[in-house]
Amino acid sequence: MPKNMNVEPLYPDETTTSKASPAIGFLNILLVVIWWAGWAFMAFFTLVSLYTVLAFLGVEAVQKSFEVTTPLMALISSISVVVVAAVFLIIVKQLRQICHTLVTGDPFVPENANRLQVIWIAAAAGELLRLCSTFIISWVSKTSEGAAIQATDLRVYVWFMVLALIILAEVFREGARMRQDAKLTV
Amino acid sequence: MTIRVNLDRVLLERRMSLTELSDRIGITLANLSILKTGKARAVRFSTLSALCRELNCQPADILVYEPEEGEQANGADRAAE
Repeated sequence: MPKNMNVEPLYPDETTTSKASPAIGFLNILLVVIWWAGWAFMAFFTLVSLYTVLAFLGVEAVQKSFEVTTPLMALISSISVVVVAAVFLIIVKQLRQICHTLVTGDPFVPENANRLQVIWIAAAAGELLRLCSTFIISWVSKTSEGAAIQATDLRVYVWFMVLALIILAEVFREGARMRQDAKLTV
Repeated sequence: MTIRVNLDRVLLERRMSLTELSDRIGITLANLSILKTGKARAVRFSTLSALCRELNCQPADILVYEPEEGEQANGADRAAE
């Protein structure tokens, strides 16, 4: 029997650094671009919201630009877009952090399960907010123009994605637990 | 955890340091420390075999089962039955 048994090391050798694949590098760059685009989008619609607030408060110079829609509807629309942009940024932030753990070489950590949980909660909250704003806009347009209330469009695929994310988060949690077990196996 | 690791006692008896043992069996010092401090969740047979070979001992010298209070009472009840 050889003196030095080849026992599998518990942790990867500290000198070896994980090399991220080109796909991960590309994803990282893509997420950075999406992150800043999301901020630009949010900043733009925040300004639009402020503009509509002025119109809603009765500033005449601003009110003139609202011919097609009422200031109230524009305000509700722009606020809901800002909220959706915020939800989008929360999701992108979590994805960036998950991607970072992928680059460092250990994505199966409990934090990533929590991040996936945050993503599905944010996606569900965003969709609920969208449904609410659609309903309010329909209701306001009915009261102002006498039009019929628009049917609320329930996006089944969004809820299906939320379900998929819930399952993925739980799979990740179990995976992280198993990884921790493997780490503590000598 | 009800399994106690007596690695430090065995090492003391053999007058061997953890670093020396680590070199001899080819397991990193960090891993051996995890085992010694009782933080390990599982031990491979290959690791146990290497430890017994280098320390010239039996697995029972390194690992000791210590029942917890509840477990001890249950075991005693079953023995009485």
